[in-house]
Amino acid sequence: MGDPGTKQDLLSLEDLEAAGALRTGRKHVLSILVENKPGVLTRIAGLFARRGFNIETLTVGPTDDDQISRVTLTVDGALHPIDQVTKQLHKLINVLKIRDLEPEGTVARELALFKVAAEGRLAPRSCRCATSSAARSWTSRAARSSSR
Amino acid sequence: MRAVDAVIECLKAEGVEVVFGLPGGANLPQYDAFYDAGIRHVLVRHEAGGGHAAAGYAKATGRVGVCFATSGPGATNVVTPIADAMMDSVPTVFITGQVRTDLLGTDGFQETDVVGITMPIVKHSFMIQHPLEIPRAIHEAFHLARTGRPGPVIVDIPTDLARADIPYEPVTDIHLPGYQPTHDGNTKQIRQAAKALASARRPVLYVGGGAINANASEEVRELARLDNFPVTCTLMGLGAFPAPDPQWLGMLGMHGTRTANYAMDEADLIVAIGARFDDRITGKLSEFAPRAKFVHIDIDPAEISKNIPAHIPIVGDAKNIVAKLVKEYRALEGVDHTRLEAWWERIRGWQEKHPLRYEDSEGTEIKPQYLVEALYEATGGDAIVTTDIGQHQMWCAQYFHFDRPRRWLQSGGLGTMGFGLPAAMGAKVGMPDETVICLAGDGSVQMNMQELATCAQDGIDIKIFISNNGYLGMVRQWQELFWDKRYSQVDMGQFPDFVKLADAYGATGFRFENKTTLVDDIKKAIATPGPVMVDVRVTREENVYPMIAPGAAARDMVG
Repeated sequence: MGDPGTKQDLLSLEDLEAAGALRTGRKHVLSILVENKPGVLTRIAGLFARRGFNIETLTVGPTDDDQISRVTLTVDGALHPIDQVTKQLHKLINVLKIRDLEPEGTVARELALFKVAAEGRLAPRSCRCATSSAARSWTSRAARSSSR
Repeated sequence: MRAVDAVIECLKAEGVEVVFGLPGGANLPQYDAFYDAGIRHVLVRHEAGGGHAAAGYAKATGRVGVCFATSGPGATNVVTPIADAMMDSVPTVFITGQVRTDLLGTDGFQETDVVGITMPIVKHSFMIQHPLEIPRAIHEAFHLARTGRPGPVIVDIPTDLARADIPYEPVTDIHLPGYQPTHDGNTKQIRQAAKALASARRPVLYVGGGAINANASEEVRELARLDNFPVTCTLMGLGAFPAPDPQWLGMLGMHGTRTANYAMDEADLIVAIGARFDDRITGKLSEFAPRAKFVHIDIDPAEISKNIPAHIPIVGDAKNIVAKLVKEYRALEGVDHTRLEAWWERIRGWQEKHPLRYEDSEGTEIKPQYLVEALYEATGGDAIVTTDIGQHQMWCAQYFHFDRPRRWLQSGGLGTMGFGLPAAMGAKVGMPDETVICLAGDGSVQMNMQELATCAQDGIDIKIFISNNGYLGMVRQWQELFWDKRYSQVDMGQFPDFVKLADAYGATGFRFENKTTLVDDIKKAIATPGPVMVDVRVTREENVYPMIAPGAAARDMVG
């Protein structure tokens, strides 16, 4: 226990600050490693639902270890105390590790896929439009044959 | 061996001495294994009774309570006891039968997704998918139930897997990578808490059921004695600190003493030990203990700063942490040991001005508060007491003074009517040499009345006292106070005849109506061998006071 009771043995109660239950006001990306067992996603989703926490986005995928999956979800820290969210998640036996990805140290990308119904000459024009916006485009076989 | 025989071996390895349960189609293989298992099985009349009995057993003994149920309705009948055990952190294991694997998902006869239904109310659950998983799952279930913050764990076993042949070897290497409860508590934080206590001029120790789960009563007492710290307990914590004691403020919360609630209101430091700032404690959250800083000791990190932000959080086992806190406090120098004199003067003032009181009857009429006092006198306080939920429960908390832990068995968090009788049954099975009393309401006792048959058949010697006012009393009180006396659906009349009913169940029935002989009558009832059920006719319309109205602040107590 070190050397208790040496220097300053009293403190000012006024100076004590409360911790936790704070709203951070920003989105949090939680990267959660879970055991790859049936029902784990239900446990996580159910926990969010009954505690009144909103999941904004959610992805689940395998990792290099087939015993372990990764759940990545975003939660709004303006609405929910993130420390409560993570502490409740930690109580799930199948949850192994939670990382709250700090924006500075995180590379985040979003991917959107648009399907454009374009016939005849509209098809190549749509493609040009896409590439000029740094997007990639593909033309389906059906569209190619109809433009011929 | 058959997987079901392996289950029995697991139970034995876990030290299980009794199982409460009821057989059905899907757990027939399990009950075949019970036939010559050499483990006591108590055949309940309803699975809910089995679940609450397991909880009563666990609360009285500190060991894991075990309940077996079949699939479908058997499993759904234990949903309430499971939720109850979750809310009160009771170490329990529920083993349910499930339909054959080829029927799963087909709406087979007596099929219910019990793992799905109970997911929000279990500490953990196991759906068995291969017979080889069974022994490990059972051992992990016991480990989870009894360690960390205790709670209910379910193992759901399909009937075909239960019959499969498997090799059994005791599992001793439990490794749950996602489950590592903290026991020790952060040394720096403990030292900080000691300094805060030494600096506080109006401190209160606020002790909850977690202190009892952690077997920390001795340590709590030692902490309190260090500097004459005032102590209050929650409903679940009663017994963690001896009730008749000069440092005892009484229970706090909705029906706690004014002294305890006022002390919380004016405290400059509150040390919460295994308590979770439930709404029945805090009243209006924004006005709860507005002058206080909080030290919060809990084994569950998620409880810390959930309702009230903690200034000094300490995660770990209460016994361990409080012992270290005592050591740290003793090592401090420059502590003014007279600093609490003004605080105690203030507290003594409240105690003198606002003792717990009720207007007793003049004649032979029995006031429900007097019934509790008579029970206390007749037993000398030497009994394990369970109650149901409602007015009688609050009066019992106020007027029966618990001096030791595990003597007061409650459904605190869930507030389950029908808990008292089966919980008393479980407690008596676990503690056969103790006097076990169930103080029930005439409303709640009927919710698990069927277990009186179990008690009669098995000779489980419990004494049930029904505080009979012919009302759902607490609801009637709220209707009187907050709903303009519109007594809607609370009058239960004088049905049934409890004395005849006791007789029909093979128990002994009495009816007491005279206050002047009540103490002696109670002694007589307790001395009567076998299960006894007593119909005590009490004043019909009596209110529990004092009271913090729902959503009001503690300092605005009424009555």
